Amino acid sequence: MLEVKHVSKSFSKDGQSQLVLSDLNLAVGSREFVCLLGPSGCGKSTLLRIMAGLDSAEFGGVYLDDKLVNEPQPKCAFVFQDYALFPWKTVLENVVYGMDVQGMYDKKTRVEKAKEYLKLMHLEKYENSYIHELSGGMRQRTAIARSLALEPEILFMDEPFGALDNFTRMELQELLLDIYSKNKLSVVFVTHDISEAIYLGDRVVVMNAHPGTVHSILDINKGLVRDRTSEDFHLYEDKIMQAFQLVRKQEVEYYI
Amino acid sequence: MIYKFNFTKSAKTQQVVDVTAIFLGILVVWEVLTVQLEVLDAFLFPSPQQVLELFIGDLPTIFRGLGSSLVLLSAAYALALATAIPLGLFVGWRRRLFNAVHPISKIMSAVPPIVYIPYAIAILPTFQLASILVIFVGAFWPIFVSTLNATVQIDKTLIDSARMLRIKERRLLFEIILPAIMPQVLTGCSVGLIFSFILLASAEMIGATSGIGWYVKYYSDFGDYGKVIVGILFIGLVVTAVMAVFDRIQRHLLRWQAKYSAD
Ligand SMILES: Nc1ncnc2c1ncn2[C@@H]1O[C@H](COP(=O)(O)OP(=O)(O)OP(=O)(O)O)[C@@H](O)[C@H]1O
Ligand SMILES: [Mg+2]
Repeated sequence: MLEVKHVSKSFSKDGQSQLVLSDLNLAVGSREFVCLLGPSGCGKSTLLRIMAGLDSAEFGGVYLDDKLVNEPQPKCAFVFQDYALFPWKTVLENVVYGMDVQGMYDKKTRVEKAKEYLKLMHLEKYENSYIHELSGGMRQRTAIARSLALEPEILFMDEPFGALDNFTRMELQELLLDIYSKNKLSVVFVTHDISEAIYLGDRVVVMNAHPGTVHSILDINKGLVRDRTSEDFHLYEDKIMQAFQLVRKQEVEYYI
Repeated sequence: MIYKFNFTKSAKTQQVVDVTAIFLGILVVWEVLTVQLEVLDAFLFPSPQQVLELFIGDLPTIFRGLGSSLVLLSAAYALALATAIPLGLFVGWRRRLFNAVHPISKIMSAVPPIVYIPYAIAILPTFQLASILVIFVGAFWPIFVSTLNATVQIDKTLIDSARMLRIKERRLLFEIILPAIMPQVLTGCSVGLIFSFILLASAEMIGATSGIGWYVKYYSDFGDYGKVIVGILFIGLVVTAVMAVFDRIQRHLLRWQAKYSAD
């Protein structure tokens, strides 16, 4: 269980301190797929980085099984929006490297495992390619393979499909759901795409901006939303739209 | 792709033809001015044929000189590589250390290393040590400064991506940061190598008893300008050859970059 307790964070901008997250609370259970949904600039990335231990909260804290998170924890992996692959390594080397650093398996097994994950991501033909030779979708798949190879219990993903075209995005969404259902794994997934959040998440956390807080949390009945064109899917979409309208109204009042 | 390949290939051939043409042109002008027209003073400007004969006759001396020069150069350059890169990484990675060292390194690296030569000769027991020190200083600063700046400016998500692995600092420095900044480091290394040659030649002209720089200085003192030209041309060849080797190494180390991947 990963718990965010009363987390606040501000950055200084032009000499002024700007509150980005304000007294934010959230819990992610084990084997749960949680989507953080909110408009650009509402602090999703900031929150995710704090949850992963890459940044620290100013007030409050993040707890993993009641232990304070003050640095990246074991058995956690992060998929960055801009991939953050190691361009001087080949696709296969990128996947193997993390396992090597974490001292997982022996060398031969690491390579075998890495190849399995690359195959899962349909990248077996590109094992020996360098990153600059890959398309955006292939890079993102490499980044996901690299994270999965660490056999994480929590996978943090920051708008991983944001830069991809619709076809690739839908394909990768399927792949991710498939992996999620087959592994003992929690996913914290940042997105600003409403239907992506509904389609993927067990729960959708709708965030407000300025400062970032949790507006509402929506439980998704996964049985109902496998079809993106279904009534129920639209019902969820409407609910979230309403939430955002509320957010906007509040802001207007605030500015008046 | 095929078009591009053909284009680059023919461009390469064209280049070889052009360079050869210019080179031959210079030879012809030289020959005409010295031998055919005799407008240039024969004492200061020997003919191409004379220079070639001197070169062949002096080959043993020249190569012995090259040997002693390369020993100095490689000792100093290796020392510079072995210290400047780890130090640059370490200082660049520690914010506080960087803030303290950066202004100092700016001042120190601004001093032209040639001015150290007389002092180095005075404080060190042998000329060899003095030249190694000076060449080292000349190569050290460009490598150190480029490593330092590249480390400070490194893409932070690469670091985050490594931090998520709970990586040890040593591995982070040498397995993540170093390869990531290798392009800038190599640029520093090539500037350092060129400086090394300049300092090598200068040091040898001031205090050596052998070496390629010494050769030029020694014969110009005797007014043997044929041999001076031999020495100058030979230094040009050596520097070109060493830089070509450097280029090959650079291409290999950066084979992961798009611009080098075709080779
Ligand atoms: N390192 C930083 N220094 C200063 N300000 C920052 C920093 N990181 C984020 N911010 C500010 O915090 C706010 C929230 O940023 P964040 O990246 O968390 O938003 P986001 O919800 O992820 O947006 P997007 O969907 O566009 O990625 C922004 O106003 C941004 O300017
Ligand atoms: Mg973001």
